[in-house]
Amino acid sequence: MKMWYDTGKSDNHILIASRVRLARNLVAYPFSLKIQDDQAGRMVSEVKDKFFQQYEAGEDYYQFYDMNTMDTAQKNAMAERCTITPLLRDKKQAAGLITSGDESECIMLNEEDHVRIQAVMRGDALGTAYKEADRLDDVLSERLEYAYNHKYGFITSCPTSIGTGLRAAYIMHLPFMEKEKLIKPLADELNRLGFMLRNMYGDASGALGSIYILSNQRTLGMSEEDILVSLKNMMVQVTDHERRARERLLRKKRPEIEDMVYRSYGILKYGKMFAAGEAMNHLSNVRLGFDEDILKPEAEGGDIYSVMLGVLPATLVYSEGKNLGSLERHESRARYIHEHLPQIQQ
Amino acid sequence: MLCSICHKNEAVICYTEIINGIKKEQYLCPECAAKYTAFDSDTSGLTPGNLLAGLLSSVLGQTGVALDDDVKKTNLVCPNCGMTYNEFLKYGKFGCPECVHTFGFLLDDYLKKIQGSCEHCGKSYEGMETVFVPDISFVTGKSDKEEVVREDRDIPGARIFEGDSQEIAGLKRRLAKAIKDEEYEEAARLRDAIRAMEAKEAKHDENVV
Repeated sequence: MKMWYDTGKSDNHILIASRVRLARNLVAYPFSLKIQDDQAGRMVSEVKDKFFQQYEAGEDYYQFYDMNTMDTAQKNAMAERCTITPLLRDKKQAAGLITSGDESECIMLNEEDHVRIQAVMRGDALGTAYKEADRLDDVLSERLEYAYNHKYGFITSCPTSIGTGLRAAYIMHLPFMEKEKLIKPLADELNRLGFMLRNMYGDASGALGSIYILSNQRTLGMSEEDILVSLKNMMVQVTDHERRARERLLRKKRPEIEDMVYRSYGILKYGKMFAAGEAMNHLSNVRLGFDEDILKPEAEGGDIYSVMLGVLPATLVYSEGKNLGSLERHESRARYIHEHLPQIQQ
Repeated sequence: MLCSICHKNEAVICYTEIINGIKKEQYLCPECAAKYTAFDSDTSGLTPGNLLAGLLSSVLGQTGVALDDDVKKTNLVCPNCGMTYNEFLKYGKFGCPECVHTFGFLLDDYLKKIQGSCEHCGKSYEGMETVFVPDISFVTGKSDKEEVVREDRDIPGARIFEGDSQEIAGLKRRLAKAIKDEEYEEAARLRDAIRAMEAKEAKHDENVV
């Protein structure tokens, strides 16, 4: 089964994907801080049973996974591509996951909230992603009693999600804003306005592959539509900043940038060993090269974001089907890149 | 650079201590830092969770004097999940839906600080079965509930309580539930109560105007 990010199209633009998460809790159980092991088990199976009343057995589009019996390698890989959160991955209590085959839709059970619905789609599709999440929310809300308060809206475990329980996000590729050191000042400004811009991969020292997540912080006092529209406005502005940074740098240093892009392509094509960070950064350069027409793919297809997800450590270990030492992993990563890097016109 | 205490391991932490205005800098390895200083590399990374818990305590800290006077409040325990006032301060999280009522007296200020608002105006849940449903099923006896609810849900953030006071909204919700449970006597009583209240409000509005 193909994943949601494997569209088969070459789509290396600044905006990579749109994602929506909805947090919901059931009135009948204590929240994550107070829920007992047996209650967690009952809660997970109740939500699972109610959900599959709508999507009967035989309809194999949705699948249920018991997180406690899931293989560690698979859990790590799922967390790495953000199908599940690290919190769900590390949960000792009963926890579950309902997911569509391409993992574009999923429902985490007994995460920080009883139910976390997630929908993610390629490109600029926040509205559609919200509709999908909302549809799953309706399926559950017709069968389960949610914790809801007339004044405060949907009650969540943490007051930072109370109200709509809606956390919307755009996944973006911002290599030149990063180069121009514009990320931090922009993130600070966004923060003041109630939005958050942070690394998708990597730590405080830097973002792997220049991939960032832009999301809303406020969930209360705004309608879902207001949240989605205001986030989209922010996304348009961030995209605009990146585009201007690219124009500026390409005007000033086109030969250097072309050299950087072609060099990265060459290294990826002929290198025999790659650490994850190195591979991600070269892939980021190549992605930029495709988007700015410095490189031209020989055939339609081949999105660099899906190659990026393929070379992440846990994903690599999972697809190899065995635990790898770091040298083996570096070699396996190079093989993966050789197979999946799109050919370019000479 | 090597650790300035053991001179063996690579120094990765720059530890700055200021005591009585005198600044002292040391470059340390994680082991020596853990042994000789207050620095703990495992807990130094602040996750959003503990940042917020800190915020909650500090928000409440500002009103701490008044709260401390009221011993009853600081001894509060949520009757449903057993969450104590101190736990709520520490974790900044609810233990169950009931906590919203138990700690409601300090919630509005806190929510205004972190969310800029303390009132929900997005998708409604129980509420959406209230306003549109009763009249239709009363008059026609048919359940048009499904269709009406669907329509409403297509509009994210539809505010169906606009113009209703909290009391009327609450009554309407109970009315919808009574109809759903086929308790028609109770439903009729609620319907009359709502009409009376609406008439009273209309009168009040006229007087105001």
